[in-house]
Amino acid sequence: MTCEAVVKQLPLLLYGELTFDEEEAVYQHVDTCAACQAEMAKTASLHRRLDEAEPDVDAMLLANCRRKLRGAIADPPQKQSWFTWNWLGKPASALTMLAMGFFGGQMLPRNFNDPAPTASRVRFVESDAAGQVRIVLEDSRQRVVSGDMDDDSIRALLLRATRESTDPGVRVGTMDLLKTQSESVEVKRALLHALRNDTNAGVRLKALEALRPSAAQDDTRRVLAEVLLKDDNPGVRTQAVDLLMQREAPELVGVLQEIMSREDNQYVRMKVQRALADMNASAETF
Amino acid sequence: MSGHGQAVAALGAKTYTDYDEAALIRAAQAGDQYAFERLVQLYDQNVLRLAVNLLRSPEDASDIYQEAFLRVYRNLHTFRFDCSFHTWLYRIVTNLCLDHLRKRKVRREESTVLDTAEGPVDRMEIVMEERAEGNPQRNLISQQLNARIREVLSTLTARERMVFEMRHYQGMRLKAIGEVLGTTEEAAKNCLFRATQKMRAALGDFV
Repeated sequence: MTCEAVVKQLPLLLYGELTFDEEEAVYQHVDTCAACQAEMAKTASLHRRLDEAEPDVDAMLLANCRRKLRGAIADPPQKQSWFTWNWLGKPASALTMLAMGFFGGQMLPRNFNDPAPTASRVRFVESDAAGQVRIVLEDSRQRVVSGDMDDDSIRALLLRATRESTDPGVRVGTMDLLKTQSESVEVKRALLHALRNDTNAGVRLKALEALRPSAAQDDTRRVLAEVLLKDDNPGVRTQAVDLLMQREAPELVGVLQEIMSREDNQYVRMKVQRALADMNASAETF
Repeated sequence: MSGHGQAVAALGAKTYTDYDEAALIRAAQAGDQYAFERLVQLYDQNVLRLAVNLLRSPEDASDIYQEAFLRVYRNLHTFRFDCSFHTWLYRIVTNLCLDHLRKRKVRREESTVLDTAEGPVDRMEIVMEERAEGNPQRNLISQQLNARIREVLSTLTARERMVFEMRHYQGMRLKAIGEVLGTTEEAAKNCLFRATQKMRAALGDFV
């Protein structure tokens, strides 16, 4: 096998697209050829780099796409589709249905119709204009549970969704529902947790939005300052500055100066600089 | 019988799970709206990612998402399990993306190439750079790397980008990619090789 042929096979080897015999031939050559060994290392390095740069699906975009799809199916431009969507047939304005596909094999709280907990998967949450929340669960079959946001069981399911759903679209939807309840200690804790730990920037932005009413409270401010220092998304950092600045406080100056020394985003820097100027503080530490 | 009832009947005592795709499809064909929705959720993140990466416009990707799943919705009754559902869906998505890119080309996208004092500049490249700047990573190297990767992805042909995206980020086999794109596995292999070579050349400093 020539070096040229091996080089052509290397990407396929790393993708597992070669037959056993083809792989053997490549390895036999690589074992004895320093140039091809180097080439293989570089190709493997390229794969790793590309993996690192893998873009995240934008959770808000996904949630919006799902919402629009439901709307389009519920209200088709043509006359009749081949089957009826009962639950989608409801007016989009009266009902916001959020797709959920989260936490398989969980214990459902007791106070629904079933006498005992059931292994369930929550598949949807929805709310209507009257503030009623309905949750679709899937266990041996799919079903819907409903209640308002004050229902402990409903809230418990939503809170679990914020941590356990693997679907960022679902987490965004859940944050949206919970934002009306941010005065509740447990909801606020969940929002702060999401803001600190969620891997998706769209979800973190939703958590920030939900935390707006409590932005002046000390525990929220501590997390906002932490986010401002650590979050890798400039959009999240910008929102965090805005919320923090809802209440000017001298203890903020140190944090903001620290940010000025490390922030690489011009827009966030500008925001922080303005905040410091509003507090008559210097942008630098001495 | 309600949609869900029909589905239960269609499935007998069986219930569907994430892994029971055929049952989900049959239930959706029988009119079970939940099964259809579940089917959408099994694939929609990857469909959206593919469309965003190919078209590099969230708005266009959103349109492709809508159109693709509406087509699936309207035509699911014609699906006869001659190929995998995944292949069928991706055929729809990739064709829509290619059509979109073609239309964009015909419209010349209000001409993506601008004449500037420094010579012609492709607006797509400016957009890519602006986006990279607006979304910087803390780590300068990874910031530069991401920008460079986006840049080189934009130099790939639509087919190379599709093959690369489906193979690298979506883990599809080249045979399946060939089926989706209506070509041979060999052609998909060549496409992937070209894409990889271009990336190697462009990312030389980083690998």
